[in-house]
Amino acid sequence: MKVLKFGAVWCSACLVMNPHWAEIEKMFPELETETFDVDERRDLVAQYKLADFPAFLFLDKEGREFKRFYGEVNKKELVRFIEENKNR
Amino acid sequence: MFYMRRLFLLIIFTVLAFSFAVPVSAAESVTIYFFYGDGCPHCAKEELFLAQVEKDFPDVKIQRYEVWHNTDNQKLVVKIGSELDISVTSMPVTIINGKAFNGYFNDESTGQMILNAIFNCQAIKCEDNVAPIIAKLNKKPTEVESGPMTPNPVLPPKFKIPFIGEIKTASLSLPTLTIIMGGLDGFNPCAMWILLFLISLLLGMKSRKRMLILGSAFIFASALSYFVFMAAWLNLFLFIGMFFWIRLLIGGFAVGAGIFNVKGFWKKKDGGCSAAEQEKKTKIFSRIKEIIYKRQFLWALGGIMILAFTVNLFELLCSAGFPAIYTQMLALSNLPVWKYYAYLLLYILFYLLDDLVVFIIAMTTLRAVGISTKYGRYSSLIGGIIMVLIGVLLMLKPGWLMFG
Repeated sequence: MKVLKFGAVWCSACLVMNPHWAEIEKMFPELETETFDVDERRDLVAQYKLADFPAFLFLDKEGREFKRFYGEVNKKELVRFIEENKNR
Repeated sequence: MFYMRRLFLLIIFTVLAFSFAVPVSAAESVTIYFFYGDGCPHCAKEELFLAQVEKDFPDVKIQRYEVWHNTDNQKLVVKIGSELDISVTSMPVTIINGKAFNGYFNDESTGQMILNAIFNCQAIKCEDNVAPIIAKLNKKPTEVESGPMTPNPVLPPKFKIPFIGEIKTASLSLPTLTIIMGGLDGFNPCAMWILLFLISLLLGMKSRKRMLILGSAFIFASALSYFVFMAAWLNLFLFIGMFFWIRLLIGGFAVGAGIFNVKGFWKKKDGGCSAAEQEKKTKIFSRIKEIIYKRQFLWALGGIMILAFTVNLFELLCSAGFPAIYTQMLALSNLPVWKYYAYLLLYILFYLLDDLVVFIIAMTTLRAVGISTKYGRYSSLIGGIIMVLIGVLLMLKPGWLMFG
């Protein structure tokens, strides 16, 4: 499983989510994540048709998106989702 | 010779008698023109005072004109103001001998000033320059049915607001409302994103001193632009605020803006930032980058302040609701000029509180932090409810919103 994280420096909700993700990444060292600044990667914003930021896209082993979260997401909810889907 | 002497003395006596008789009988009739709003507590306070004046000075005549509900009387007071070139700004307006007294503080201050004007008119013959204007318009004073009006609008001791709870009216005051409204307005995310932009760029700088000065200059310029904007609203409302329809308009706007804010609470539950605004924000981002990396520090400083001014003016559309409603409420209160501006400063201090917290944390920890948008959502809900309440009061019970 891989997580694509999209955020912007001007977006308060993105800044709020940064420390949550830092903790999650410590909890799941095997979790592969990639962070994108939406102002620098507008091609990806268009490709994934992102409506809001922050956006967290979950890809399976084949690189197919199976879930996305927008905005401020509860850390517990993210941890539960990752635990349930870490083998995908 | 004897007759000549008697005649001379008679003439002297007659001249002296008449020359002394003029000031003794000079208690000229004085007309006071009293323009009041039905339901305005300051007007009720002055009415009690004027009723006593009528009793104590039989030569004083008071002509009363209700202006909150009577549009003809509104036009009349404005006409008198422009013809006599006097300022008629806040309720009540009292005109004696071409001089206007705006508002009514208490018997000792405004009351004494009115008495002085009456004494002055009794001592010298005053020209009633209001009467010809009224005669030209063929206006009759408002008939006051029985005795003085209600001294104060009846305010319930406590009332309940949905989601907020019970509020005791005794604990409501202008400073409390200023702090609440300024704080709630501050959580509006409109102006926050630009500060976060700036912080992210400042954190990449080597000089902490430069970071601190540029960031503070941005916050100071933001405060200044907001102050200028609010002062303009306030002066507009002080100037035209007495009109019933202005209050109705602002009241209606407040109800609409309040409902919009309450709806926003349910609409944007995830608290994310909309991608639709990305292009606009990216442009401003590159502009800030250009400014703060200028070699000449003064250019960077001036540039950041101009940017803060322009961005805040553009973003005002997003947060105009609170300042417009607050300044209208402030204009209704009877305050000395310096106090109006002191309240604006208090409002802005609380408006900027969250920006200051974010900036201070960034400067001390060298990390950009965001304030959870859930606070913004709740402030939108509470603020929306307060807006609706103020809107309804502005339309139906403006006296409840008059402080001072």
